Amino acid sequence: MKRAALLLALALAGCGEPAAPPASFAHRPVLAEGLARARAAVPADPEPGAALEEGHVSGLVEMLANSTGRMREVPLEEIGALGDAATAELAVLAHRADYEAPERLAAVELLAKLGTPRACEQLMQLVEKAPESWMRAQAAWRLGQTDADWLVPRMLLRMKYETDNDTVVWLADSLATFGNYDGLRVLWSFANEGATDELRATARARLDDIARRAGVASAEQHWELWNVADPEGVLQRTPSARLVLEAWKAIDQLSGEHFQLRGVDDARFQLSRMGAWVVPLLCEALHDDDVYVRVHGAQCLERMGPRAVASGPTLLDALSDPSLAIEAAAALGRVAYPDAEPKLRELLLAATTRHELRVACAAALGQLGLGASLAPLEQVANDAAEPRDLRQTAAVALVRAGAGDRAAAYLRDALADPLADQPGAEEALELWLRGRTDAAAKELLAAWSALAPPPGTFPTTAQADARRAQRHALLVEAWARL
Amino acid sequence: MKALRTVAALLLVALTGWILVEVFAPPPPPAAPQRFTTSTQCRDCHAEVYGEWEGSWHAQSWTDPDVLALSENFSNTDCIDCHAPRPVFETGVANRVLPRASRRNEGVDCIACHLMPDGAVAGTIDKPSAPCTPKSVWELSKADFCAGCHDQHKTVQQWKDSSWFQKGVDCLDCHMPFRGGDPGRGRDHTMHGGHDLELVRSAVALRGTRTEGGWTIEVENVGAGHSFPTDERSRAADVFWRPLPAAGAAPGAWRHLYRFRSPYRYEVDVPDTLLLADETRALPLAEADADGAVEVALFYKLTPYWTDPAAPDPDREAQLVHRVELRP
Repeated sequence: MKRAALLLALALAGCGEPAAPPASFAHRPVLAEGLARARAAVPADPEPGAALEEGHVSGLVEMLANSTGRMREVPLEEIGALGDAATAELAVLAHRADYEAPERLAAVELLAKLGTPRACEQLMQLVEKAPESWMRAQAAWRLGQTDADWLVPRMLLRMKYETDNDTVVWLADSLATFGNYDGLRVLWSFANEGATDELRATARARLDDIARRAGVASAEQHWELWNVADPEGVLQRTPSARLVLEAWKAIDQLSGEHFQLRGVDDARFQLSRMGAWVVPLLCEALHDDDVYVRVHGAQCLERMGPRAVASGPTLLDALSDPSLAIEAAAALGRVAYPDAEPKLRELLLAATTRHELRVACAAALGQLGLGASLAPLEQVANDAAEPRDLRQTAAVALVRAGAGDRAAAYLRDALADPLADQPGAEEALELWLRGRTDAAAKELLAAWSALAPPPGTFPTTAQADARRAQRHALLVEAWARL
Repeated sequence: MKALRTVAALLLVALTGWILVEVFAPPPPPAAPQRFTTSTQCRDCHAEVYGEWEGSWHAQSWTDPDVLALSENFSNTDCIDCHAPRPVFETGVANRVLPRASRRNEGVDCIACHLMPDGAVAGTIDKPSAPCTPKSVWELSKADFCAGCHDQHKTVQQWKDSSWFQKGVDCLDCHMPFRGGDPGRGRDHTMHGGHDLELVRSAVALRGTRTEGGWTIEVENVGAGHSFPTDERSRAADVFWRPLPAAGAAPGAWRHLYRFRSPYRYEVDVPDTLLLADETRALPLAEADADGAVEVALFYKLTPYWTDPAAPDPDREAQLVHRVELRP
């Protein structure tokens, strides 16, 4: 009976129901609205047209494959007149494994020349499915000669999973043609650490060429503009209606309607690697009535980093939404929105703030790295009454904010505390040591670094514990000199 | 007789009073609400359970070196959702999990499974006077409770499609049995699984039968209750064989016969070969020198990759599950 009464009371109290959002951050079916709006904005594809005479398309393919100079212009001009009536056959020819390579490449070139949505879809399918890496690379390159920016999300995903370096390079190049510079990340990686001289040189050449095409002075500056800050909007692009629709479809994948994380992971990957134009859509999604859309939308903004700084005001409002506040706080730090600092500080210090939100606020304040945050972070880090992980997060935040001296003692002790996040403490202490310029710190850092595992290896738990114990001993021994 | 009636009347009054007290008496004062910020808060009262969990792979879901390697130190942030989830009761039983921001180094911890949205703790009894105010919540013991994470790799669905589901044998029966088989002692929070070689051995049987020119090797899923192995990407099982050496002679190198594995997302050229629950897979072994006596072994891998894929060394890089010698 008591149990029944308890259950009744809980039911009446609405226990387990999500807290209602504040009026200032109301929820509504944003996703459905956005999808409908985006679908309405996309023009319908024209019908492919009547079937062509047998041999017509293959004749153009062979002519292109076997011609040089101005003779090549003939099939390239004629294909435009045929339109989508030629697309299906071109796709078949491009996929045919028993067909000669020059003819298959000619079919790919003609698909790119056609450039219709159907033709570009076929090019994308070649990138995604062709078993031959040279074909995937070729199709990736040809995509950049079309205006199919709506394929950017799929190209990003393909770049994530592609194993052929050439294909990755050309995907990065074509993405840049559409104003998406996420491929710079992998090109820089290839340019600096590529396995062969050829790969390093190719990647470097692409980086320089992409910067030149974007009107940026250097590849280095280009990287900064894309990833750190682009206050003048140099890299801003207006997406096509089709691309906006694809973005809403990706946001739809975040929804709780889908159980499998695979699609969610892919959508987060795609959305967080798009240009700043997607930020207003994600900000809108923060109001959706599906908590998964809200939470993952905020995660996407967080992962975008400073490119999503325009989301700052919306994220700041979202701190008032209990279902979203933690992710909003985390995102405010990563997008580097300085106006959020007072509110994050207030939430960190308020006794009524949920623990997990305080942790997120502490981490965000560390990422913002503003002077006003240092004293409150120090207060939390050194207050023995505060929960252990909040203290450590505050200590790490101080290190990230360049004030590690205020928290180093706590981190030193955490390094030897089995209940603390020892790997986190170890990482923060190393960051702190690297930021110091005094001789004692440099000497300690040298000894500390000598204990590091070889690059690319992951030590066992016992090895990692032993290394941390050694590093802790080094710290204790050197402490008086630091 | 009168005395008997008096005793009966007194008993009746006492019984009525007891019932009235039970029904209408105010409940014992609830304990002051406790805010849970770390699973170490549970340790003082639940030392045995905490100790079991502390040594479990759930506790190491954030720190296990294999996980760190596969997730590239969690730079693949998609791994966080399941390796440091918010409380299941917060996101909802059988719903997709969401990642949490704090105490990630505690992995899948007490709070992730037991904390309820109202701050109470889900358990097997109601005890409002206890510091953690436990409530009896039946979903805690159901397979759907594990699904938020473990059905991401279809393990729960594999079980639902098996005879084990029909028989009513569920996740807890194998992975959280009662301590010493005694329900009164509660469930073992070690939550052993693929890292427990004995449990893995109990999941499959290996045997061979003579066929013309060689052997047919059979691997049967006799006890997994789900596919063997389960969990895409992370697990693999391989059958190796070699001619049985003459007495005193050194054995030759293992030769690969078959792999049980499900492909990871991008592995479009890897077939799905998981051994379904209750299934027996027959593997023909008909190589030129397989006509005589052979040694066949089933190895289990916690990560599917070999240092040298062209010449895998299961003795060094995998765990021996079963080995049989087959003689004509």
